[in-house]
Amino acid sequence: MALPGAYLEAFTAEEISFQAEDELITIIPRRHIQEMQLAGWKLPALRPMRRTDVPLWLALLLKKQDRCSIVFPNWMDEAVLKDFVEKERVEPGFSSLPWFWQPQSAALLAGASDDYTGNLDNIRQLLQDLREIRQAKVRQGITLVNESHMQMDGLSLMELNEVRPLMSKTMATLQKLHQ
Amino acid sequence: MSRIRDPIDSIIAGLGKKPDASEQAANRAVIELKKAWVAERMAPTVLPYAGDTLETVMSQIRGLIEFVEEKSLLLHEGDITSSGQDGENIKLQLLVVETELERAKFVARGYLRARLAKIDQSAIYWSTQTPLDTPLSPKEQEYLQRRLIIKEKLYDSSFLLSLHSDLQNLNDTDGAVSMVDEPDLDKPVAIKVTKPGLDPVVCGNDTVLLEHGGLYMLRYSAIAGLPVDIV
Amino acid sequence: MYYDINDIETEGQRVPTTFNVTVPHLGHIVGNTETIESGTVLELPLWLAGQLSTVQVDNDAETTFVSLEEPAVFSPDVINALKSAPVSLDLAEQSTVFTNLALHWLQMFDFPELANVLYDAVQQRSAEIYDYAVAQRGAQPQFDESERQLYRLVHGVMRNMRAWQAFGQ
Repeated sequence: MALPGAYLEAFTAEEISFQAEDELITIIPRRHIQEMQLAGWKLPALRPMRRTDVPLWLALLLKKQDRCSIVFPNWMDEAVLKDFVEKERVEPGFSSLPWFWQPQSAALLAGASDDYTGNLDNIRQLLQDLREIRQAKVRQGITLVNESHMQMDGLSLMELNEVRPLMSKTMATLQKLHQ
Repeated sequence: MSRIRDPIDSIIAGLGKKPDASEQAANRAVIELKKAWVAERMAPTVLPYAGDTLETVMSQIRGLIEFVEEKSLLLHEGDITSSGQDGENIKLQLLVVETELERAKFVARGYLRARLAKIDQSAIYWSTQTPLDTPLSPKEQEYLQRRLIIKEKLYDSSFLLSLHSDLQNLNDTDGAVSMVDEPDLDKPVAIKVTKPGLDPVVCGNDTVLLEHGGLYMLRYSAIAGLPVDIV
Repeated sequence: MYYDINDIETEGQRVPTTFNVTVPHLGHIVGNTETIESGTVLELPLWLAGQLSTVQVDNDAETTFVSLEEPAVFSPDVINALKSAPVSLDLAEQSTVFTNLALHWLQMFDFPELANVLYDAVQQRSAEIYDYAVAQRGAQPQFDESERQLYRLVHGVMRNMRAWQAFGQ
Protein backbone atom coordinates (compact mmCIF):
# COMPACT_ATOMS: atom_id res chain seq x y z
CA MET A 1 0.00 0.00 0.00
CA ALA A 2 1.39 3.36 -1.04
CA LEU A 3 -0.22 5.12 1.93
CA PRO A 4 -2.31 4.06 4.92
CA GLY A 5 -5.95 4.80 4.07
CA ALA A 6 -6.42 7.40 6.80
CA TYR A 7 -3.71 9.51 5.15
CA LEU A 8 -6.15 10.36 2.37
CA GLU A 9 -8.59 11.73 4.97
CA ALA A 10 -6.27 13.97 7.00
CA PHE A 11 -2.66 15.01 7.37
CA THR A 12 -0.63 13.94 10.36
CA ALA A 13 0.39 16.65 12.81
CA GLU A 14 4.00 16.08 11.77
CA GLU A 15 3.17 16.72 8.12
CA ILE A 16 1.51 20.00 9.06
CA SER A 17 4.57 20.99 11.11
CA PHE A 18 6.62 20.19 8.05
CA GLN A 19 4.48 22.49 5.92
CA ALA A 20 4.76 25.24 8.53
CA GLU A 21 8.54 25.09 8.43
CA ASP A 22 8.59 26.77 5.01
CA GLU A 23 7.00 29.91 6.47
CA LEU A 24 9.42 32.82 6.64
CA ILE A 25 10.69 34.18 9.91
CA THR A 26 13.15 36.91 10.84
CA ILE A 27 16.52 35.98 12.30
CA ILE A 28 19.40 38.01 13.66
CA PRO A 29 22.64 36.22 12.69
CA ARG A 30 25.33 36.03 15.34
CA ARG A 31 28.18 35.23 12.99
CA HIS A 32 28.97 35.64 9.33
CA ILE A 33 27.57 32.88 7.16
CA GLN A 34 28.59 32.43 3.53
CA GLU A 35 26.16 32.66 0.67
CA MET A 36 24.65 29.28 -0.15
CA GLN A 37 22.98 27.80 -3.19
CA LEU A 38 19.93 25.82 -2.13
CA ALA A 39 17.10 24.15 -4.03
CA GLY A 40 15.93 26.88 -6.40
CA TRP A 41 17.03 29.80 -4.26
CA LYS A 42 20.12 31.42 -2.94
CA LEU A 43 20.61 32.17 0.73
CA PRO A 44 22.48 35.48 0.74
CA ALA A 45 25.54 35.91 2.92
CA LEU A 46 24.35 36.54 6.46
CA ARG A 47 26.04 39.34 8.37
CA PRO A 48 26.04 39.57 12.14
CA MET A 49 23.19 41.60 13.59
CA ARG A 50 21.60 42.17 10.20
CA ARG A 51 18.01 40.96 10.17
CA THR A 52 17.08 38.53 7.42
CA ASP A 53 13.96 36.52 6.63
CA VAL A 54 14.54 32.80 6.15
CA PRO A 55 12.32 29.70 6.20
CA LEU A 56 11.50 28.51 9.72
CA TRP A 57 13.36 25.20 9.29
CA LEU A 58 16.55 27.07 8.46
CA ALA A 59 16.06 29.50 11.32
CA LEU A 60 15.68 26.61 13.76
CA LEU A 61 18.70 24.83 12.33
CA LEU A 62 20.92 27.92 12.59
CA LYS A 63 19.58 28.57 16.07
CA LYS A 64 20.54 25.07 17.13
CA GLN A 65 24.05 25.72 15.85
CA ASP A 66 24.07 28.93 17.86
CA ARG A 67 24.46 30.97 14.68
CA CYS A 68 21.47 33.24 15.14
CA SER A 69 18.69 34.35 17.39
CA ILE A 70 15.10 34.27 16.19
CA VAL A 71 12.73 37.23 16.26
CA PHE A 72 9.36 36.01 17.46
CA PRO A 73 6.49 37.09 15.22
CA ASN A 74 4.44 40.02 16.48
CA TRP A 75 1.30 37.97 16.93
CA MET A 76 3.11 36.02 19.65
CA ASP A 77 3.54 39.16 21.78
CA GLU A 78 1.72 38.71 25.05
CA ALA A 79 -0.36 41.86 24.52
CA VAL A 80 -1.36 40.85 21.00
CA LEU A 81 -2.21 37.32 22.08
CA LYS A 82 -4.33 38.71 24.92
CA ASP A 83 -6.20 40.80 22.39
CA PHE A 84 -6.73 37.71 20.27
CA VAL A 85 -8.07 35.76 23.25
CA GLU A 86 -10.49 38.54 24.15
CA LYS A 87 -11.78 38.80 20.59
CA GLU A 88 -12.01 35.06 20.36
CA ARG A 89 -14.20 35.02 23.47
CA VAL A 90 -16.71 37.64 22.38
CA GLU A 91 -16.89 37.29 18.62
CA PRO A 92 -18.71 34.41 16.98
CA GLY A 93 -16.24 33.72 14.17
CA PHE A 94 -12.61 32.61 14.34
CA SER A 95 -10.10 35.43 14.75
CA SER A 96 -7.58 35.61 11.93
CA LEU A 97 -4.59 33.90 13.47
CA PRO A 98 -1.91 32.74 11.03
CA TRP A 99 -2.64 29.60 8.99
CA PHE A 100 0.12 27.77 10.91
CA TRP A 101 -0.24 29.40 14.32
CA GLN A 102 -0.05 26.16 16.30
CA PRO A 103 2.94 24.40 14.70
CA GLN A 104 4.78 27.71 14.33
CA SER A 105 4.39 28.67 17.99
CA ALA A 106 5.14 25.12 19.09
CA ALA A 107 8.36 24.99 17.06
CA LEU A 108 9.51 28.40 18.27
CA LEU A 109 8.78 27.66 21.91
CA ALA A 110 10.53 24.32 21.66
CA GLY A 111 13.60 25.52 19.78
CA ALA A 112 14.08 29.19 20.60
CA SER A 113 12.33 29.96 23.87
CA ASP A 114 15.42 31.84 25.13
CA ASP A 115 14.86 34.41 22.36
CA TYR A 116 11.42 35.26 23.67
CA THR A 117 11.39 38.52 25.55
CA GLY A 118 8.11 38.14 27.41
CA ASN A 119 6.81 35.68 29.96
CA LEU A 120 6.80 32.15 28.54
CA ASP A 121 4.25 30.72 30.97
CA ASN A 122 1.85 33.50 30.15
CA ILE A 123 1.92 32.97 26.40
CA ARG A 124 1.72 29.21 26.76
CA GLN A 125 -1.44 29.78 28.77
CA LEU A 126 -2.81 32.25 26.22
CA LEU A 127 -2.13 29.82 23.37
CA GLN A 128 -3.87 27.10 25.33
CA ASP A 129 -6.85 29.42 25.97
CA LEU A 130 -7.08 30.21 22.27
CA ARG A 131 -7.03 26.54 21.41
CA GLU A 132 -9.82 25.73 23.85
CA ILE A 133 -12.09 28.62 22.92
CA ARG A 134 -11.68 27.85 19.24
CA GLN A 135 -12.21 24.13 19.75
CA ALA A 136 -15.54 24.90 21.42
CA LYS A 137 -16.52 26.94 18.34
CA VAL A 138 -15.53 24.09 16.06
CA ARG A 139 -17.78 21.81 18.11
CA GLN A 140 -20.61 24.27 17.74
CA GLY A 141 -19.99 24.39 13.99
CA ILE A 142 -20.39 20.64 13.56
CA THR A 143 -24.06 20.79 14.53
CA LEU A 144 -24.55 23.38 11.76
CA VAL A 145 -22.85 21.42 9.00
CA ASN A 146 -25.10 20.82 6.01
CA GLU A 147 -24.93 18.73 2.86
CA SER A 148 -23.70 21.46 0.56
CA HIS A 149 -20.96 23.62 2.05
CA MET A 150 -19.44 25.11 5.16
CA GLN A 151 -17.50 28.35 5.44
CA MET A 152 -14.81 28.34 8.13
CA ASP A 153 -12.80 31.54 7.65
CA GLY A 154 -10.06 32.02 10.20
CA LEU A 155 -9.67 28.36 11.08
CA SER A 156 -6.03 27.30 10.85
CA LEU A 157 -4.75 24.25 9.01
CA MET A 158 -4.07 22.23 12.16
CA GLU A 159 -7.57 22.94 13.48
CA LEU A 160 -9.15 22.24 10.11
CA ASN A 161 -7.24 19.00 9.83
CA GLU A 162 -8.42 17.81 13.21
CA VAL A 163 -12.07 18.17 12.28
CA ARG A 164 -11.75 17.51 8.53
CA PRO A 165 -12.50 13.77 8.47
CA LEU A 166 -15.57 14.26 10.66
CA MET A 167 -16.85 17.15 8.53
CA SER A 168 -16.12 15.40 5.27
CA LYS A 169 -17.80 12.12 6.21
CA THR A 170 -20.74 13.84 7.88
CA MET A 171 -21.33 16.06 4.85
CA ALA A 172 -21.14 13.00 2.59
CA THR A 173 -23.81 11.23 4.67
CA LEU A 174 -25.98 14.36 4.66
CA GLN A 175 -25.59 14.58 0.86
CA LYS A 176 -27.06 11.10 0.55
CA LEU A 177 -29.91 11.91 2.94
CA HIS A 178 -30.68 15.08 1.05
CA GLN A 179 -31.12 13.46 -2.36
CA MET B 1 -16.77 36.32 9.96
CA SER B 2 -15.00 38.36 12.57
CA ARG B 3 -12.25 40.83 11.88
CA ILE B 4 -9.73 41.69 14.52
CA ARG B 5 -9.18 45.42 14.93
CA ASP B 6 -6.57 47.39 13.04
CA PRO B 7 -3.38 46.80 15.09
CA ILE B 8 -3.45 43.07 14.56
CA ASP B 9 -4.51 43.42 10.95
CA SER B 10 -1.57 45.63 10.22
CA ILE B 11 0.79 43.27 11.98
CA ILE B 12 -0.49 40.38 9.91
CA ALA B 13 -0.25 42.45 6.75
CA GLY B 14 3.34 43.26 7.74
CA LEU B 15 4.16 39.55 7.86
CA GLY B 16 3.74 39.41 4.12
CA LYS B 17 6.62 41.77 3.28
CA LYS B 18 9.67 39.91 2.09
CA PRO B 19 12.99 40.96 0.68
CA ASP B 20 14.22 39.41 -2.55
CA ALA B 21 15.96 36.31 -1.27
CA SER B 22 13.01 35.24 0.81
CA GLU B 23 10.69 35.85 -2.10
CA GLN B 24 12.81 33.42 -4.04
CA ALA B 25 12.58 31.01 -1.15
CA ALA B 26 8.81 31.27 -1.09
CA ASN B 27 8.26 30.83 -4.80
CA ARG B 28 10.56 28.01 -5.74
CA ALA B 29 9.57 24.75 -7.37
CA VAL B 30 9.72 22.79 -4.10
CA ILE B 31 7.02 25.04 -2.65
CA GLU B 32 4.94 24.59 -5.78
CA LEU B 33 5.37 20.83 -5.54
CA LYS B 34 4.44 20.97 -1.86
CA LYS B 35 1.16 22.62 -2.85
CA ALA B 36 0.61 19.89 -5.41
CA TRP B 37 1.33 17.26 -2.74
CA VAL B 38 -1.20 18.83 -0.37
CA ALA B 39 -3.88 19.04 -3.07
CA GLU B 40 -3.15 15.50 -4.23
CA ARG B 41 -3.48 14.12 -0.70
CA MET B 42 -6.89 15.69 -0.13
CA ALA B 43 -8.53 15.55 -3.58
CA PRO B 44 -10.59 12.42 -4.20
CA THR B 45 -9.26 11.87 -7.71
CA VAL B 46 -5.83 11.89 -9.33
CA LEU B 47 -5.06 15.48 -10.38
CA PRO B 48 -3.24 16.56 -13.55
CA TYR B 49 0.39 15.49 -13.36
CA ALA B 50 2.77 18.22 -12.18
CA GLY B 51 5.55 16.72 -14.29
CA ASP B 52 7.44 19.93 -15.05
CA THR B 53 7.54 21.00 -11.42
CA LEU B 54 8.64 17.54 -10.31
CA GLU B 55 11.38 17.51 -12.97
CA THR B 56 12.64 20.91 -11.79
CA VAL B 57 12.73 19.71 -8.20
CA MET B 58 14.50 16.51 -9.22
CA SER B 59 17.21 18.42 -11.04
CA GLN B 60 17.62 20.67 -8.00
CA ILE B 61 17.89 17.59 -5.82
CA ARG B 62 20.61 16.22 -8.11
CA GLY B 63 22.43 19.54 -7.85
CA LEU B 64 22.33 19.41 -4.05
CA ILE B 65 23.54 15.82 -4.01
CA GLU B 66 26.53 16.80 -6.16
CA PHE B 67 27.28 19.65 -3.79
CA VAL B 68 27.16 17.34 -0.78
CA GLU B 69 29.43 14.81 -2.45
CA GLU B 70 32.01 17.43 -3.45
CA LYS B 71 32.15 19.09 -0.08
CA SER B 72 32.20 15.84 1.86
CA LEU B 73 35.15 14.77 -0.24
CA LEU B 74 37.01 17.96 0.64
CA LEU B 75 36.54 17.27 4.32
CA HIS B 76 37.28 13.60 3.95
CA GLU B 77 40.53 13.97 2.02
CA GLY B 78 41.88 16.32 4.62
CA ASP B 79 42.40 19.25 2.24
CA ILE B 80 40.50 21.24 4.76
CA THR B 81 40.70 20.51 8.45
CA SER B 82 37.27 20.18 9.87
CA SER B 83 38.17 22.12 12.99
CA GLY B 84 39.30 25.29 11.21
CA GLN B 85 37.21 28.20 10.04
CA ASP B 86 36.76 26.83 6.50
CA GLY B 87 35.97 23.41 7.85
CA GLU B 88 33.29 24.78 10.12
CA ASN B 89 31.77 26.73 7.27
CA ILE B 90 31.65 23.67 5.09
CA LYS B 91 30.13 21.62 7.87
CA LEU B 92 27.41 24.19 8.35
CA GLN B 93 26.76 24.34 4.61
CA LEU B 94 26.51 20.57 4.49
CA LEU B 95 24.08 20.57 7.38
CA VAL B 96 21.85 23.15 5.69
CA VAL B 97 22.00 21.56 2.25
CA GLU B 98 21.38 18.06 3.55
CA THR B 99 18.33 19.30 5.47
CA GLU B 100 16.97 21.04 2.39
CA LEU B 101 17.71 17.91 0.38
CA GLU B 102 15.72 15.71 2.77
CA ARG B 103 12.83 18.16 2.70
CA ALA B 104 12.73 18.21 -1.09
CA LYS B 105 12.89 14.41 -1.23
CA PHE B 106 10.10 14.15 1.32
CA VAL B 107 7.83 16.36 -0.80
CA ALA B 108 8.62 14.50 -4.04
CA ARG B 109 8.01 11.14 -2.38
CA GLY B 110 4.84 12.34 -0.67
CA TYR B 111 3.49 13.67 -3.96
CA LEU B 112 4.07 10.41 -5.82
CA ARG B 113 2.83 8.23 -2.97
CA ALA B 114 -0.44 10.14 -2.71
CA ARG B 115 -1.03 9.58 -6.42
CA LEU B 116 -0.12 5.89 -6.20
CA ALA B 117 -2.48 5.41 -3.27
CA LYS B 118 -5.38 6.76 -5.34
CA ILE B 119 -4.34 4.80 -8.42
CA ASP B 120 -4.35 1.65 -6.26
CA GLN B 121 -7.77 2.48 -4.85
CA SER B 122 -9.46 2.65 -8.26
CA ALA B 123 -6.98 0.68 -10.36
CA ILE B 124 -9.48 -0.84 -12.77
CA TYR B 125 -11.18 2.50 -13.30
CA TRP B 126 -7.87 4.18 -14.18
CA SER B 127 -7.01 1.39 -16.59
CA THR B 128 -10.18 2.17 -18.57
CA GLN B 129 -9.19 5.81 -19.15
CA THR B 130 -7.94 6.67 -22.62
CA PRO B 131 -4.41 8.09 -22.97
CA LEU B 132 -5.99 11.45 -23.76
CA ASP B 133 -8.16 11.52 -20.62
CA THR B 134 -5.81 10.04 -18.08
CA PRO B 135 -4.02 12.28 -15.58
CA LEU B 136 -1.48 9.48 -15.04
CA SER B 137 2.11 9.98 -16.15
CA PRO B 138 3.61 7.36 -18.50
CA LYS B 139 5.48 5.83 -15.56
CA GLU B 140 2.32 5.68 -13.49
CA GLN B 141 0.48 4.01 -16.37
CA GLU B 142 3.24 1.44 -16.56
CA TYR B 143 2.97 0.87 -12.81
CA LEU B 144 -0.81 0.48 -13.13
CA GLN B 145 -0.59 -2.10 -15.91
CA ARG B 146 1.98 -4.23 -14.10
CA ARG B 147 0.06 -3.96 -10.87
CA LEU B 148 -3.14 -5.16 -12.53
CA ILE B 149 -1.38 -8.12 -14.10
CA ILE B 150 0.22 -9.20 -10.83
CA LYS B 151 -2.99 -8.86 -8.89
CA GLU B 152 -5.02 -10.71 -11.50
CA LYS B 153 -2.53 -13.59 -11.43
CA LEU B 154 -2.73 -13.74 -7.66
CA TYR B 155 -6.53 -13.74 -7.64
CA ASP B 156 -6.65 -16.31 -10.43
CA SER B 157 -4.35 -18.75 -8.71
CA SER B 158 -5.83 -18.14 -5.27
CA PHE B 159 -9.51 -18.57 -6.05
CA LEU B 160 -10.92 -17.11 -9.25
CA LEU B 161 -9.96 -20.01 -11.55
CA SER B 162 -11.88 -22.43 -9.36
CA LEU B 163 -15.09 -20.50 -10.01
CA HIS B 164 -17.43 -20.75 -13.00
CA SER B 165 -16.11 -18.58 -15.84
CA ASP B 166 -19.09 -16.22 -15.53
CA LEU B 167 -18.02 -15.44 -12.00
CA GLN B 168 -14.41 -14.67 -12.70
CA ASN B 169 -14.81 -11.06 -13.74
CA LEU B 170 -13.28 -8.34 -11.61
CA ASN B 171 -14.78 -5.52 -13.65
CA ASP B 172 -18.48 -6.39 -13.70
CA THR B 173 -20.56 -3.21 -13.71
CA ASP B 174 -23.94 -4.84 -14.49
CA GLY B 175 -24.98 -5.96 -11.02
CA ALA B 176 -26.61 -3.88 -8.31
CA VAL B 177 -23.18 -2.81 -7.13
CA SER B 178 -20.49 -2.00 -9.70
CA MET B 179 -17.23 -3.83 -9.06
CA VAL B 180 -15.24 -0.96 -10.51
CA ASP B 181 -14.54 1.60 -7.80
CA GLU B 182 -14.48 5.10 -9.17
CA PRO B 183 -13.15 8.18 -7.42
CA ASP B 184 -15.96 9.83 -5.44
CA LEU B 185 -16.00 13.28 -7.01
CA ASP B 186 -18.63 14.49 -4.54
CA LYS B 187 -16.32 13.93 -1.59
CA PRO B 188 -16.14 17.15 0.47
CA VAL B 189 -12.74 18.86 0.39
CA ALA B 190 -11.39 21.98 2.09
CA ILE B 191 -10.35 24.87 -0.13
CA LYS B 192 -8.82 28.29 0.33
CA VAL B 193 -9.83 30.98 -2.14
CA THR B 194 -6.57 32.74 -3.01
CA LYS B 195 -7.79 34.73 -6.01
CA PRO B 196 -10.46 37.44 -6.17
CA GLY B 197 -13.31 37.50 -8.66
CA LEU B 198 -14.22 33.83 -8.94
CA ASP B 199 -17.72 33.02 -10.12
CA PRO B 200 -20.11 31.42 -7.64
CA VAL B 201 -20.21 27.64 -7.80
CA VAL B 202 -23.21 25.33 -7.71
CA CYS B 203 -23.32 22.85 -4.86
CA GLY B 204 -26.38 20.62 -5.06
CA ASN B 205 -29.31 23.02 -4.67
CA ASP B 206 -27.15 25.84 -3.31
CA THR B 207 -25.06 28.47 -4.99
CA VAL B 208 -21.90 29.27 -3.07
CA LEU B 209 -20.03 32.56 -3.35
CA LEU B 210 -16.29 32.05 -3.24
CA GLU B 211 -15.06 35.06 -1.27
CA HIS B 212 -11.44 36.01 -1.68
CA GLY B 213 -9.55 34.72 1.36
CA GLY B 214 -12.39 32.40 2.36
CA LEU B 215 -11.95 28.87 3.69
CA TYR B 216 -14.65 26.43 2.61
CA MET B 217 -15.54 22.81 2.82
CA LEU B 218 -17.56 21.64 -0.16
CA ARG B 219 -17.85 18.81 -2.65
CA TYR B 220 -14.84 18.42 -4.92
CA SER B 221 -16.95 18.33 -8.08
CA ALA B 222 -18.08 21.93 -7.45
CA ILE B 223 -14.53 23.31 -7.59
CA ALA B 224 -12.70 20.80 -9.81
CA GLY B 225 -10.33 22.65 -12.13
CA LEU B 226 -10.91 26.06 -10.51
CA PRO B 227 -7.90 28.13 -9.42
CA VAL B 228 -8.46 27.55 -5.70
CA ASP B 229 -6.07 25.88 -3.27
CA ILE B 230 -7.12 22.49 -1.96
CA VAL B 231 -5.71 22.48 1.56
CA MET C 1 -17.84 2.09 -3.48
CA TYR C 2 -17.75 -1.67 -3.90
CA TYR C 3 -18.68 -3.62 -0.78
CA ASP C 4 -17.10 -2.89 2.52
CA ILE C 5 -17.87 -4.83 5.70
CA ASN C 6 -20.53 -2.34 6.71
CA ASP C 7 -22.33 -2.84 3.38
CA ILE C 8 -22.19 -6.61 3.57
CA GLU C 9 -23.53 -6.50 7.11
CA THR C 10 -26.26 -4.10 5.98
CA GLU C 11 -27.35 -6.20 3.03
CA GLY C 12 -27.56 -9.20 5.35
CA GLN C 13 -30.20 -7.49 7.50
CA ARG C 14 -33.56 -9.21 7.27
CA VAL C 15 -36.49 -7.13 6.11
CA PRO C 16 -40.16 -8.17 5.89
CA THR C 17 -41.52 -9.04 2.46
CA THR C 18 -44.91 -10.18 1.22
CA PHE C 19 -44.99 -12.71 -1.58
CA ASN C 20 -47.09 -11.48 -4.49
CA VAL C 21 -47.21 -14.87 -6.15
CA THR C 22 -47.45 -18.48 -5.12
CA VAL C 23 -44.12 -20.24 -5.48
CA PRO C 24 -44.09 -24.03 -5.53
CA HIS C 25 -41.18 -26.07 -4.22
CA LEU C 26 -39.76 -23.22 -2.14
CA GLY C 27 -41.67 -23.95 1.04
CA HIS C 28 -38.64 -25.39 2.79
CA ILE C 29 -37.27 -21.91 3.42
CA VAL C 30 -40.36 -21.13 5.50
CA GLY C 31 -40.52 -24.46 7.26
CA ASN C 32 -42.43 -27.60 6.54
CA THR C 33 -44.64 -26.72 3.59
CA GLU C 34 -44.18 -27.50 -0.07
CA THR C 35 -45.36 -24.19 -1.48
CA ILE C 36 -45.03 -20.53 -0.51
CA GLU C 37 -48.53 -19.15 -0.88
CA SER C 38 -49.14 -15.72 -2.29
CA GLY C 39 -49.56 -13.31 0.62
CA THR C 40 -47.05 -15.07 2.83
CA VAL C 41 -45.02 -12.61 4.90
CA LEU C 42 -41.39 -13.59 5.16
CA GLU C 43 -38.25 -11.90 6.40
CA LEU C 44 -35.48 -12.03 3.81
CA PRO C 45 -32.00 -10.53 3.73
CA LEU C 46 -32.01 -7.13 2.09
CA TRP C 47 -29.84 -8.17 -0.86
CA LEU C 48 -32.33 -10.89 -1.81
CA ALA C 49 -35.46 -8.97 -0.90
CA GLY C 50 -34.27 -6.00 -2.91
CA GLN C 51 -33.72 -8.13 -6.02
CA LEU C 52 -37.03 -9.99 -5.71
CA SER C 53 -38.93 -6.77 -5.24
CA THR C 54 -37.65 -5.30 -8.50
CA VAL C 55 -37.72 -8.36 -10.76
CA GLN C 56 -41.03 -8.84 -12.57
CA VAL C 57 -42.62 -12.25 -12.57
CA ASP C 58 -42.96 -12.15 -16.34
CA ASN C 59 -42.35 -9.54 -18.96
CA ASP C 60 -45.97 -8.47 -19.44
CA ALA C 61 -46.95 -8.18 -15.81
CA GLU C 62 -46.21 -5.36 -13.40
CA THR C 63 -46.17 -7.85 -10.57
CA THR C 64 -42.87 -8.48 -8.81
CA PHE C 65 -42.11 -11.60 -6.80
CA VAL C 66 -42.32 -9.84 -3.46
CA SER C 67 -43.24 -6.46 -2.03
CA LEU C 68 -41.00 -4.94 0.60
CA GLU C 69 -42.60 -3.94 3.88
CA GLU C 70 -41.19 -1.30 6.16
CA PRO C 71 -38.73 -2.85 8.61
CA ALA C 72 -39.50 -2.43 12.31
CA VAL C 73 -36.36 -0.33 12.77
CA PHE C 74 -38.03 2.41 10.72
CA SER C 75 -41.36 2.23 12.54
CA PRO C 76 -43.02 5.50 13.63
CA ASP C 77 -41.97 4.73 17.21
CA VAL C 78 -38.29 4.64 16.30
CA ILE C 79 -38.53 7.71 14.08
CA ASN C 80 -40.26 9.64 16.86
CA ALA C 81 -37.65 8.54 19.36
CA LEU C 82 -34.90 9.65 17.00
CA LYS C 83 -36.66 12.95 16.56
CA SER C 84 -37.14 13.69 20.24
CA ALA C 85 -33.82 12.32 21.49
CA PRO C 86 -31.44 12.32 18.51
CA VAL C 87 -28.31 12.02 20.61
CA SER C 88 -29.29 9.74 23.46
CA LEU C 89 -31.18 7.18 21.38
CA ASP C 90 -29.32 3.88 21.37
CA LEU C 91 -29.00 3.48 17.63
CA ALA C 92 -27.09 0.23 17.83
CA GLU C 93 -29.95 -1.28 19.81
CA GLN C 94 -32.28 -0.60 16.87
CA SER C 95 -29.78 -1.99 14.41
CA THR C 96 -26.00 -2.19 14.47
CA VAL C 97 -26.04 -0.81 10.93
CA PHE C 98 -28.92 1.64 11.34
CA THR C 99 -27.49 4.57 9.35
CA ASN C 100 -26.29 2.48 6.46
CA LEU C 101 -29.52 0.49 6.34
CA ALA C 102 -31.43 3.76 6.19
CA LEU C 103 -29.23 4.98 3.33
CA HIS C 104 -29.83 1.75 1.42
CA TRP C 105 -33.55 1.93 2.11
CA LEU C 106 -33.79 5.54 1.00
CA GLN C 107 -32.17 4.63 -2.30
CA MET C 108 -35.10 2.31 -2.95
CA PHE C 109 -37.97 4.25 -1.42
CA ASP C 110 -39.10 7.80 -0.83
CA PHE C 111 -39.35 8.16 2.92
CA PRO C 112 -39.05 11.88 3.73
CA GLU C 113 -39.78 11.48 7.46
CA LEU C 114 -36.89 9.08 7.86
CA ALA C 115 -34.54 11.19 5.70
CA ASN C 116 -35.36 14.44 7.54
CA VAL C 117 -35.21 13.05 11.04
CA LEU C 118 -31.99 11.19 10.33
CA TYR C 119 -30.46 14.30 8.71
CA ASP C 120 -30.93 16.26 11.94
CA ALA C 121 -29.79 13.32 14.05
CA VAL C 122 -26.59 12.87 12.03
CA GLN C 123 -25.67 16.54 12.64
CA GLN C 124 -26.23 16.18 16.39
CA ARG C 125 -24.59 12.81 16.70
CA SER C 126 -21.52 13.89 14.74
CA ALA C 127 -20.91 16.59 17.34
CA GLU C 128 -21.25 13.85 19.96
CA ILE C 129 -18.68 11.72 18.15
CA TYR C 130 -16.37 14.73 18.12
CA ASP C 131 -16.82 15.20 21.88
CA TYR C 132 -15.95 11.60 22.54
CA ALA C 133 -12.86 11.83 20.39
CA VAL C 134 -11.74 15.09 22.03
CA ALA C 135 -12.23 13.64 25.50
CA GLN C 136 -10.55 10.38 24.40
CA ARG C 137 -13.37 8.34 25.83
CA GLY C 138 -14.03 5.06 24.08
CA ALA C 139 -16.70 4.78 21.40
CA GLN C 140 -20.18 4.88 22.85
CA PRO C 141 -21.93 1.52 22.82
CA GLN C 142 -24.95 3.26 21.30
CA PHE C 143 -23.04 4.20 18.15
CA ASP C 144 -23.90 2.11 15.12
CA GLU C 145 -21.27 0.69 12.77
CA SER C 146 -21.00 3.80 10.54
CA GLU C 147 -20.60 5.97 13.62
CA ARG C 148 -18.01 3.63 15.05
CA GLN C 149 -15.97 3.76 11.86
CA LEU C 150 -16.15 7.54 11.93
CA TYR C 151 -15.22 7.61 15.61
CA ARG C 152 -12.15 5.46 14.95
CA LEU C 153 -11.01 7.76 12.16
CA VAL C 154 -11.51 10.95 14.18
CA HIS C 155 -10.01 9.39 17.30
CA GLY C 156 -6.90 8.43 15.33
CA VAL C 157 -6.42 11.99 14.12
CA MET C 158 -6.90 13.40 17.63
CA ARG C 159 -4.52 10.88 19.18
CA ASN C 160 -1.87 11.86 16.66
CA MET C 161 -2.44 15.52 17.53
CA ARG C 162 -1.95 14.78 21.19
CA ALA C 163 1.18 12.76 20.63
CA TRP C 164 2.59 15.65 18.64
CA GLN C 165 2.45 17.68 21.84
CA ALA C 166 1.28 21.15 21.15
CA PHE C 167 3.14 24.26 22.27
CA GLY C 168 6.53 22.75 22.84
CA GLN C 169 5.67 21.18 26.17
